[in-house]
Amino acid sequence: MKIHPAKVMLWLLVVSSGWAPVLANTAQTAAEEAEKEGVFTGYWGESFWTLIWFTVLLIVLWKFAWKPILAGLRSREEHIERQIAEAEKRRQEAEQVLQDYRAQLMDAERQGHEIITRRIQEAEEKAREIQAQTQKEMERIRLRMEADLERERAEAERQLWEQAAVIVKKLGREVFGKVLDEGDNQKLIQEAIERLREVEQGQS
Amino acid sequence: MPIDSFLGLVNASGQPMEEVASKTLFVLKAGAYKIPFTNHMFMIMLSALVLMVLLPLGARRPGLVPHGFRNVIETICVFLREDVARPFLKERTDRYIPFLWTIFFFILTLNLLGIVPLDRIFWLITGRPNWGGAATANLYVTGTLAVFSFLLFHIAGILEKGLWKYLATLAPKVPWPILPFMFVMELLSSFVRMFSLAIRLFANILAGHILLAVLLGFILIYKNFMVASASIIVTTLMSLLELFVAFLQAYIFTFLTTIFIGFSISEEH
Repeated sequence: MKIHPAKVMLWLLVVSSGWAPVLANTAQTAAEEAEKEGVFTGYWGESFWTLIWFTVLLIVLWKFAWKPILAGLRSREEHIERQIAEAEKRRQEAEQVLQDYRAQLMDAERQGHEIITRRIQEAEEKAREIQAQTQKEMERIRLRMEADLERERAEAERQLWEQAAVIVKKLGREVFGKVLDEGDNQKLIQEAIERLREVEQGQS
Repeated sequence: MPIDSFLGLVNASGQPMEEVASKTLFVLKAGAYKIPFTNHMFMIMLSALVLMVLLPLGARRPGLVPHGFRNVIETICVFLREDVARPFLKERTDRYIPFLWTIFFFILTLNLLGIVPLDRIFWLITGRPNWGGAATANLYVTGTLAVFSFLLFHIAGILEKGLWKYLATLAPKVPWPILPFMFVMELLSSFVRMFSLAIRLFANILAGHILLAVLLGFILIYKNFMVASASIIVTTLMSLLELFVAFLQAYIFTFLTTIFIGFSISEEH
């Protein structure tokens, strides 16, 4: 409920109007009484005068001083409230941005970790593949070398046996003085080979 | 300087009571009636006129940040609004704050102008005595202000709650046999509040001015330079105290009025 100054003034006027007869009755004698000195000097006219001037002052100040001051104070309060609300909004926005950045940072860290882990896994996989390929290649080389070796050995053995046959053939011609025919040669060779194999098996 | 002039300058008659007494300046004749116009009436009018000129002048400069005189006024106004009225009147503060501001500034101006030796200055210029004085050292003046405060807090209660509800809530919630007694007690206490407001302001200002007059009176009694020096020093210090009392009493009157309004408009009262 809004209290209008006029309403209050009306109340005051009603109350103060009751003083008027008192004032009128006492005014004549008050002039002499006012001259008397003492703690309680004064008279009702001063009360009435105070009330009138206070009422006038209240009305004038209400209109010309308190209204602008109150309006100024309210507008400043509203301005400060707006500023605070704005600052709060900005703070919340900044908080949100900060949270977004933090989330992005964490996401980037997570992605980085994932990338690093994936790359490490890939590298390990690659290393394993390379290692396996190398081992396979080495095995293949080893097998090929073993095959080559076996082939060389067999060739050497074959050549050895051929040489041995030629030597036996020469020995036979020198020892027996005749040239052994093909059947003899074959027989002697076969016997020599058999003996050599037995010797060889005995050694191993 | 002749002794009469000195007496006029310092203390019109050497009687401390004359310092605070209401003195007739001239008599207005209204038909058969004679209405005396006293020095306190003059001071009341002067104070009101000063405020009616200064405060609107100070308040008329708009702007978000106050400067100069408006800053002084607003500092006091904001203090009274936020630290005195708001704790008691809450959301109704702005409804009553113009009354409280007016009471405060009016009493403060009366107190401050009472300290200024206007009667001496006026006497020096015009040769007419008694055009000054402390109006708040007059019980009829402080009584009227207290009556205004009394009416204000009762009217506030009635306007906020309605007459019957206000009368019903005047007494606290007590068993019905003692309710009439409590109602009468509460009614009496509201009158006591009014008298206490009037007497407190009146007595403080009266005592201060009598004390200053007595201290200066020592010079006239002893007519001694040592006494005069001591008297002037103590009077100066007491005047500073009176300056503080001027603010303090205006504040107390406003503060108590605020509390009484708060009591009247609160639901639990």
